[in-house]
Amino acid sequence: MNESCENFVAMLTDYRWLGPRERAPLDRHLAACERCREEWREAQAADELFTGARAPAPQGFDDAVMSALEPQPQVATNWLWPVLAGALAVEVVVAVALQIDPTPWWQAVKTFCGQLINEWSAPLSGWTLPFDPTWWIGALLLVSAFGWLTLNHRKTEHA
Amino acid sequence: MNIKTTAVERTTWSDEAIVRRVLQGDTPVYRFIVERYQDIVYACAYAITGSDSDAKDAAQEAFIRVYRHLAQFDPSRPLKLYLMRIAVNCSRNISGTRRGWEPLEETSEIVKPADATAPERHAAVRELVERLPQTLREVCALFYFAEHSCREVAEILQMNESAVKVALHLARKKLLTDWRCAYE
Ligand SMILES: [Zn+2]
Repeated sequence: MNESCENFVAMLTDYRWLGPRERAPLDRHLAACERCREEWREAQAADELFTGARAPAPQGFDDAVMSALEPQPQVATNWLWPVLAGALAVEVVVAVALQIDPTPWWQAVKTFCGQLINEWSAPLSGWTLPFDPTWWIGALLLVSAFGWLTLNHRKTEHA
Repeated sequence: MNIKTTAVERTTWSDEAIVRRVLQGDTPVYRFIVERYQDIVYACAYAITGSDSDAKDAAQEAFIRVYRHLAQFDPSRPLKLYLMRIAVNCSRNISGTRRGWEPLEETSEIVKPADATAPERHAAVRELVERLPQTLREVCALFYFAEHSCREVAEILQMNESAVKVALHLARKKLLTDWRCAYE
């Protein structure tokens, strides 16, 4: 057996995994070399021997495995900092927009909010609440962020 | 978490997709991994342990262990190789703890009629595999029953690829000789 035969015999073992490009030189060699052809016949005979010889898993095997499994532990996502950072970013954007937007529409909103707040705060024996809408939007965002975080925390605890 | 999918759709999911879902908490879809590989895992465990009940225990242990360590597994890597490596280890452990079982002796004869039915012939092939020395048995089981390439068998058994090819060559020679003695 020469060196190239050894290479081809090594290829024979994995014949079923070879692509057409790798098979072509092997097939050419087999056509020319009786020794390798003999090896090839043995490999084919073994393949045939094993066809269908695999014993199937016993009945109910999958059920037995599935009944032994615990749920995968779920890692709770830490939402605290992303949510607070998001609320802060929205607050900054709104604050900047309120400062720089001179359109009559914003002016009207500011005046309306101011009147509303003054009317609400009138009965409170002269307390003056801060008027700037930025303050209110910020407070609202923080309250919703904390509310959402609390709910989310409870949900992951129950899961 | 409960996306409506039929069983047929799920069975076409890749291993990677199933593993990702299981890790998200969808435990029941792990069944599709079990159904997909139970026959090959069991067949290899049987070839290594040489007993029905040991093979069943080892194969179940392998699936359960893979499930438990799924969080540490990189889903983009081939699950089958990982599963088979664990299955081989579980089978070795079990057959190592059972003292009663030894490979069948060379002298024990397989007496089978030449006109045996297909199931009889298949059982006889499995019996011949059991007679092989351990390494040849493992290589044979992974190559023929689990349909791995020599490179994959080498990776699973942590062997050199050419050593796998030599082992396969020896196993094949021995099997065919024994088979011809018994049947032809
Ligand atoms: Zn040759």
